[in-house]
Amino acid sequence: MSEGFRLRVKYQITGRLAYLSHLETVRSMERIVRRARLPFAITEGFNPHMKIAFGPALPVGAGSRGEYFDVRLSEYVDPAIALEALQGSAPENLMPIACAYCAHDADSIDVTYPVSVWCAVLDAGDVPVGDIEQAFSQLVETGFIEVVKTKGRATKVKRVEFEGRLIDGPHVAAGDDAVTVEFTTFQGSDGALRPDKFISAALEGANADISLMSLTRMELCEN
Amino acid sequence: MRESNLWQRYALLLDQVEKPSRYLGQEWGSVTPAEKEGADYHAVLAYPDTYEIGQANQAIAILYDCLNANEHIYCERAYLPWVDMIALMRGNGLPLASLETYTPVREFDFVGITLPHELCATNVLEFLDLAGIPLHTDQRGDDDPLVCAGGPCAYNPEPFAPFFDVIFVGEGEELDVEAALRHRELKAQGASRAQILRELACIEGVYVPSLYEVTEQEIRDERLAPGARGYTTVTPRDADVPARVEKRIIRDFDALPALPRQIVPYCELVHDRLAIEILRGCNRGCRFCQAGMIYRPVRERNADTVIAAVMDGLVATGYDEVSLTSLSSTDHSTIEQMLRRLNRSFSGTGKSVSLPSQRVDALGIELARLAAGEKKGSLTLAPEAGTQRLRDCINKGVSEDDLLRAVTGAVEAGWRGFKLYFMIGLPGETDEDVAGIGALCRRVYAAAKDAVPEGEPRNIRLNVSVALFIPKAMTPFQWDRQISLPEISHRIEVLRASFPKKGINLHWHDSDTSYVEAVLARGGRECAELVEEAWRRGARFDAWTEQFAFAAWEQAGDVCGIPIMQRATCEYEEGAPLPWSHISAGVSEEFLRAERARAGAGEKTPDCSFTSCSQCGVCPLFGMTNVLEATRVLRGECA
Repeated sequence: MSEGFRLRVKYQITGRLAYLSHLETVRSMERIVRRARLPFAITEGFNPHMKIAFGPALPVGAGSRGEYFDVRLSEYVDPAIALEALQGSAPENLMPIACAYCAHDADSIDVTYPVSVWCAVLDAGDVPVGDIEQAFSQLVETGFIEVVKTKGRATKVKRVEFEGRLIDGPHVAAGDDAVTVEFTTFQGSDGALRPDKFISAALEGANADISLMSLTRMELCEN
Repeated sequence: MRESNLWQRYALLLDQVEKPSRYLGQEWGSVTPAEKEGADYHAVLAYPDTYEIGQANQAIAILYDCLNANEHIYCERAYLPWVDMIALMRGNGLPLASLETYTPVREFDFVGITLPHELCATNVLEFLDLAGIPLHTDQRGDDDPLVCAGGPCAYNPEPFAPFFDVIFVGEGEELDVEAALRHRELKAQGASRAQILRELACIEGVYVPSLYEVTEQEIRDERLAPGARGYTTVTPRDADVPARVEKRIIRDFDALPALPRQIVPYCELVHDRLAIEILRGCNRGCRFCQAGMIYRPVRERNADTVIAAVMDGLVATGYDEVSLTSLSSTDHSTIEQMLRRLNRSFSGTGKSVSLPSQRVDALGIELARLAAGEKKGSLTLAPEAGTQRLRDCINKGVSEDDLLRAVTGAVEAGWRGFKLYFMIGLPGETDEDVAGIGALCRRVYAAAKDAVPEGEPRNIRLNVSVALFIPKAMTPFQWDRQISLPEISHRIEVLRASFPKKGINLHWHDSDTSYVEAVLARGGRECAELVEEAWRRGARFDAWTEQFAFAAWEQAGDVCGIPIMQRATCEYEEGAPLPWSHISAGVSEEFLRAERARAGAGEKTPDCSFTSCSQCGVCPLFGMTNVLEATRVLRGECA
């Protein structure tokens, strides 16, 4: 049977839709593909569904300038036409921005793009930027964060080391109204550093009235 | 008016709540302010539960479409936030706002709250309080919105009466728009709130509770302790207010848009699929069923209209599943044809069609094969009672052979999972009837296993759900009582003993919630005090098992003189005025009494959409008859 055409779509998540969970994003994007009337392929078996695969999950509350999904098409559609159809079927804040075909046997999105560039915008009020820089430096020196996971009544604490996961930054900079923190993470088979947990751990250490205004994945990159 | 947009304040709370997608709005298909620039009348439709429950409600979707279709009206939506968000909103002094524009609900002209079931009563108060709207109609001034209700509970509106300015009885497609436009007109003329309510009371199907006098009636039942209150009945204060409010009905159902505007949610809903209503009303006449009495007569939608709506709806929404909804979808005279056409068109596309539940007798092998197409999850059937005698008493009209035939046919068609619904506590029930549930389920399980083709695993899943009978207003059992706690305990014991230890999964419902539901279902205006007292004692989200606080209801019952258990287990006297006697769904009281007598005698009454008229009184009152696409053909033993 023909493997069809593997269309890789890049999309943005902006505004309030940053609060969608990964599953909600997946479901919404599948509906966008159907509304766009792209000739998607479906799986065979008991519960037939669209052949579609997504990249790494974003934390709830984080936006993105470039996420990816691969959808298998049973017929060739000009990528520009596919993009136009997708854009016409998408809400403004969950918008496809690029389409291109990739090889059938190309690596999955997770494997192709294991690197994430993050930008956090902080409302630091009167807290000097130096204090924020120091809080992040101290956290990086610690070398890990502890993430608490609760499932039902059970609580599990997981230690996440920075080595191999935090590969650049954090770079703290003062803007006109806010402080930005940029850093780069690597997600491999042994897990990733959650950017929201990293930021909140640093802010806890700063012991000052600083709040996270936004968190955005600026880019998913090759290694 | 309408100057505030509270989104920025809500956004600050989203990091701290479960499922923030409940509060985002901006869904595909929602009506934007830009589309309604010329509208000067602002309505908000509300569901007194969370987004994922309310957004799945078909009535809200239909009325949202009808109201927004009018050029003068911009209609938005609002739902009750979950408890975590409610706590944060109260802590931050943030009022409840609409989803489309995040305008405070109290700034709207019209707030329409649907009342889907009795257990939403405390949520109505939570909603109004969170919105900053005075709870009682007599506390509201000219600047407050018109607070309206509709839905199934409008047929006994009294436990809700003091909280609403206006209650819509019957189908709202025309009524809601008519009332909203009349309100707009009266406001523009500078009419006072009192004048507005009086004028609205003249519209057919509108009940204005504040224009009625209340009288307390004694309940003569020895189960009620001396000093406990009776129920109230109402009569109009003035001659120009209708003594009896007849329901509104849509005569040409097929002329309504089959595909109302669809909003595609981000958050997963309880029924997360396209829903197309294929018929309205059900005349099967199950004697416990309120929906079967209040939505008469039957009106079927044309098959071509349904198919076109399904096709257009799937393209417009991006859903991959459609449900053909109604009270009894398998009774549609062209259901097989519709399913066959849809399955043919969906073949190989990953799309599927489903039916909400199937009549046991109507489910032939062909229908079982067609329902759900390629995806076959679990098939739901509702025999309701364990013995033929009791099934005849409740007029269920299905036999054991029907059930076994339906299940074996479904197994042959590929189904392996079954859900069976039963009730205990039905009027006239004996231990033999209760034990009959287990015996019947054993035979169903064995028949299903035997029907699995050779060579295939015989892994049949059978889930049995048993609910407690709740007498509802406007049914033949409206005078009957609920069984007491000792009776429940005994019958549950009998039920459990009748089931095998392995193979069948038995589940029964919580009796405490059923008692509260029963009190409110047959309560008068005195029960509004009970609702308010329970809410003030912390009751809310009563339909959510983990949130239900029975102690709050019991304490409220003691304070208000309405002991919950005693009231629920009281029989009402035939012939005496009832709390809902001023509301009419068209079915005559004589018919209900005759049906109760026939239940006692174990006599069945046939469905008039298949055979001859059963004299319920609806058709002559509304000057219409059942509207069928083709002659209905009885299947099963009744045929």
